[in-house]
Formats: sequence, structure tokens, C-alpha cells
Amino acid sequence: MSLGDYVRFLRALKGGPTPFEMAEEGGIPSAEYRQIEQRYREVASDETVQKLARYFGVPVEELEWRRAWPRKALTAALDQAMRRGWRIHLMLRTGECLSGRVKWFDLGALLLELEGGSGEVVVQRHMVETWGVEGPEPAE
Amino acid sequence: MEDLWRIRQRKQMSVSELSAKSGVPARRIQEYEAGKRAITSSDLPRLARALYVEEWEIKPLSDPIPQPRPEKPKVPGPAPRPPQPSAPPVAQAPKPPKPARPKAPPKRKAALGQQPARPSQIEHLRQLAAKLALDEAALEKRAGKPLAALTRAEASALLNGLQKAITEAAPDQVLGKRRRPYLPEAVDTFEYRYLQACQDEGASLTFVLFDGQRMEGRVVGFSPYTITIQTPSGEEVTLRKLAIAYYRREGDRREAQP
Repeated sequence: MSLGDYVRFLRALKGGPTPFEMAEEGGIPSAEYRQIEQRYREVASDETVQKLARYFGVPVEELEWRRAWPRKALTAALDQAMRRGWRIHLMLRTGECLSGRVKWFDLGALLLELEGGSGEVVVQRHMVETWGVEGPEPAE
Repeated sequence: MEDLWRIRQRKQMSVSELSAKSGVPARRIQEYEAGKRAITSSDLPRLARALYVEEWEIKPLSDPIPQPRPEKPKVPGPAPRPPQPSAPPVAQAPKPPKPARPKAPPKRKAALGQQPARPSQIEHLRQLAAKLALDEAALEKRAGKPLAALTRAEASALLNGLQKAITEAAPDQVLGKRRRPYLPEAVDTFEYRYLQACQDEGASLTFVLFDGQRMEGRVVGFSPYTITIQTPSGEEVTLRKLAIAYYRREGDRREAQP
């Protein structure tokens, strides 16, 4: 889950405060917060990440490592996996790991054809923590 | 909130497509988009559903679509000459070829190449070196001299060499043909179609939520942010997509079992 998706998730858990309320209560710049949620790139200053961690009551590290896994990077991985028919492994927030081939993906979800004929699942993108694309084995 | 026309364009739909999908006459949609009238309370849910957005996302009164700048009126040219009395054709002498524009003297080009490398070239060299995990010392070793002492021509040759090395390190990328991945960040139609098909077929879905809880039911409605299901006990439950980890058709799981 990217930083943007994660803070959106935390915001929902907290009862859905608006960015304006967050600016008042936690001193989080609302314009920057909107960028964090809405931009798919790696954004957010160190200071704001610390304020967000304090506001949501989570360790700073929990937000820090997610900065390196933005939505755009997941899009690139999904695009590569789908275009080349490569296998992708998705580590979900639930602790499960799903592996298979991507049949489609869009703004909010992706369809994964699971290995071993186990059917298809629609995975919500915001639940994907980390991922890995597996290309063909190098020829010996 | 956004203008109706802006949302429609973002969803890559024409007025006629939106009309067919929503059941709102095309003429009325055009009037809404031109800001001539506010969207009625009966049309708003139909348009929102057809565009797959929430009702509050559509501005009740749209700003008109900005018109492209009008082209400059053409100055009327002189009236065409009346046809002259036919005269015997005269063979025209071929026009003498235009003298070729003189090219920049090679000496000047060579002199430019000998000037100190531009700061942008040095910066570009550093960026490419970083991609190859080369530090400044390794880069200067490859250049054979300090970066500050490079000429433009030398910097250019070094840049080409580094680009080639990067391409060789990633052979699937063709030099000069950088392919941007298809980024459907503004497209949410695939899940929409999937859910619509499930709803039409009355398929039963199993949902796994973020806390591991499982729910099962038939889709009775959905929006960009929620899915409403009817559980086997007949109860209707609305699930927020934010709480859903993944879902699958019941049939898929049965097929997977031997």
C-alpha cells in the first residue's frame, strides 16, 4: 500500500477528518496532504510525514517505507507483468501473498488469474503492500 | 465538483454515448454542458450512474466548454483575373536553380566542440553515471580527465557511451524508443464492467476484508466507492471498497476444487 493509500485508509479509520480539520488539529499542510493522497508519485516532506505519524498515532517508520512504493510504481509493475505475461506476486495488507497473471487493471483494482487453475480474484490496489514481478528463467 | 462535459471527456465518452447510456436526450445534455440550464434532480442520478461517478461530483450548472480561438479571417485576395484570350503556348525556359545556402563552415563547428563542456552536459553525465552506479571518480576515470576539463565534444561522446551502456544493461529497452507504460489512472471501467457482469448474471461473490473477515453475497448495486450485496440470509450490506482486500466469484473457487 502506497503512502497515499495508507493515509487515506488511516483517515477513514479515524472517522474521515477533512484535510482542513487535519491542518487545524495536526498542523499538516492541507495542500501537501492532498498531494500525498492524490498524486501517485513519491511526495511528502520528512516533516509532514512525522506530523502525520503523530496525528494518526502510528510509527514514523510505518509511513517512511511506504514512500518507496508509490502507486505509479505498482502501475508500472502491473503493466510490465500484463504486457509480457509474467507472474506477479502481491503481498497484501491482510498478510496473504497472491501470485498469478494480471488480466486487467485500472484505477482501483486488478484481476489476477491465480496459479494452478485456482480461478480469478479482483484485488483492490490499495490493499497491495509490496509486489514483485517474476520474468522468465534465464536460459542455462 | 466538476463540469459535466469535463467528466464526460475524462471518461472518453461522446454526448451520444452518454445519452444512450443514461437515457437523457443528447440535446438536453448539450444544454447542460453549455451551462444553459441546471441539471434536474431526475437526470442527475442517471448521468452519474452512466458516468460511474457520485452525484455530488457533477456540478449542477456547468461552465460552458471553452471554445477554441477563432481563426483569423482570411483577407480577401485580388479578384481572379478574367480569362485572357487564348494565346499560343510558349515554352517557358527552366528557372535557374537557386544557389544552395552555404553551410556553417566546419571550422566553426569544430571550434564549438573544443569549448568547455556545458554545465547541463556535466549534470547529465552525473545522472547517467548514477544509473550505472558509477561514482564521480569512476566517471572521471572513464573520461580520462576531470569532468571540469572535458570539452563539449568529449562530453557528448562520453554521454553517448553511457547511454549505450545503460541500454546494454537493459536490453529490453530500445534506445530512443522509451515506452511509457499505459497508465489507466483515470479509467475505472474494468472493475465497473466486471461488477456489472456479476450483477447481471446474479453471480455470488466472496469478499475478503482488510481484517480477514469474509462475506458472501450477490451484487445488487455498486458505485466507485462501495459495493452493495445481498447475503444468503437476504440482508443487504454495503461494503466500502476501502475495506475490501479482494473478492472472487463463487464459481471460480468451485472450479478450482477437484
